Amino acid sequence: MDYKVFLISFELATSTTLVLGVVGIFIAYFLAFSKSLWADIVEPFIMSPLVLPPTVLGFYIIYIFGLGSPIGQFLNHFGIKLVFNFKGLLFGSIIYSMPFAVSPVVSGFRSVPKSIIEASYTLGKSKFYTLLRVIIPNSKYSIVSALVLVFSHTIGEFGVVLMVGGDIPDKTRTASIAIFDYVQELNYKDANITALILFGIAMSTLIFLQILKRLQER
Amino acid sequence: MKKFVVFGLLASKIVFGTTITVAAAADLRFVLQDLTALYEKQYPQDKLKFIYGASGNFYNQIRAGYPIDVFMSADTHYPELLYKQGLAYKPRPYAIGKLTLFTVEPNINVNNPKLALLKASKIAIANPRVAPYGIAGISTLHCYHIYHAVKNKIVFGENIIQTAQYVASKNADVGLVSYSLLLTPQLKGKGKIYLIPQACYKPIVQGAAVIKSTKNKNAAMRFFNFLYSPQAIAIWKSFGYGIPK
Repeated sequence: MDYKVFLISFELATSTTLVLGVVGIFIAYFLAFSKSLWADIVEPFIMSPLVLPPTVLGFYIIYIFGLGSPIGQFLNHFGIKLVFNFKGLLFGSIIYSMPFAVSPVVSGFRSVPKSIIEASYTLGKSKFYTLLRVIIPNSKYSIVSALVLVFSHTIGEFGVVLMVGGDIPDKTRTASIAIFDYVQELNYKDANITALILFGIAMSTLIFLQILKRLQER
Repeated sequence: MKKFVVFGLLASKIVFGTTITVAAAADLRFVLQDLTALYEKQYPQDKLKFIYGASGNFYNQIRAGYPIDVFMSADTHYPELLYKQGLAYKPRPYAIGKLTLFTVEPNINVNNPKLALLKASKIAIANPRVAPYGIAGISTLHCYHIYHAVKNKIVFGENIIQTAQYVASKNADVGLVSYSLLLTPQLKGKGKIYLIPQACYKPIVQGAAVIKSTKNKNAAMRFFNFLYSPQAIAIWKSFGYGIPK
């Protein structure tokens, strides 16, 4: 039984959550409040991983950033490799989990009463200050649930991590891929243990979200 | 805590020495367990790590910069291509695989393979676009002149071990799989097998190569050469492989 796979999954999920926690808020802010056409153009791209097969994303990441492509070769000159290593996994996961980081926060931001945002502006506070001290605190439940969703969604990722990471033991083999490998090995015992642990993680995050929802309704 | 992790990493480096990462064709999954045990006994300073899959997929991944040390293909075509492209050192064939008809259904008679294939409602074959055993499987159907009669009943496994699993789990009634897999403890005696006559398919000569981008060339070469040692050959034979001349 390989326990390292949980460490890798956990590391990936934590890093993805940290990155998307920051990036997601700014994208959500733009999508929630911008009236420009750009917001309408960008939103479908951000949301596309929800409906795209992971293989589409995996294929394009390898095709564009792999050493077989000019872009991949170019980046390689600067020591940047985004395929078959942890950085690549992280890059793929960030894109793949983006909708989960953005969508709840957008609706959270939109439901902040306009009056208090405008009150902040009237008092001469900057847009950034208002975001930090008025909008974010008023959407904390949406932000927390976005982060929890991103975390558990990244733990559960399979297609993108398999294609972009390449299933390298101790480096890019995550728990979800390990199950696939165990089953192929006809090693149902370890497949079962790994699967049960992932099931436990998934259920606890969903129960946590449920509790959060109740707290918010109060 | 962080200090302990660093210390642990250092310690593991001292204890295990070099890690050799091998991308291996799926038919090798079980024979390599025995080969690994022998190799790590002979060279305790090296640690072997394996990734199993279809040879064609590995070929594509290596071209995209896959960071592995040794590639063990299920044919000689892919390692030769990598060699020609300057991505691998000179490849060498290590074993010749055999194709087998396999079933776990009690009322299928494998001694008449043509009839067994015709009567089956699902036939499992590895994906011929990426798995050399799949090419051999398709050519067997042509050899029996039943390809057009049965082609709608074929289910494709992503690689040869998944194909064997389709049969072992009764999701397909028969399958054309590698003989080596059926000699493993997990599948041995689980069903009936019939060795497809060699004349029906191009010999599945399997070749290996050390990848040029390896950071552990010495260790990789050590493992590569080990595959052709007399002790390793005895293991290849015990899993039903032929030995290339």
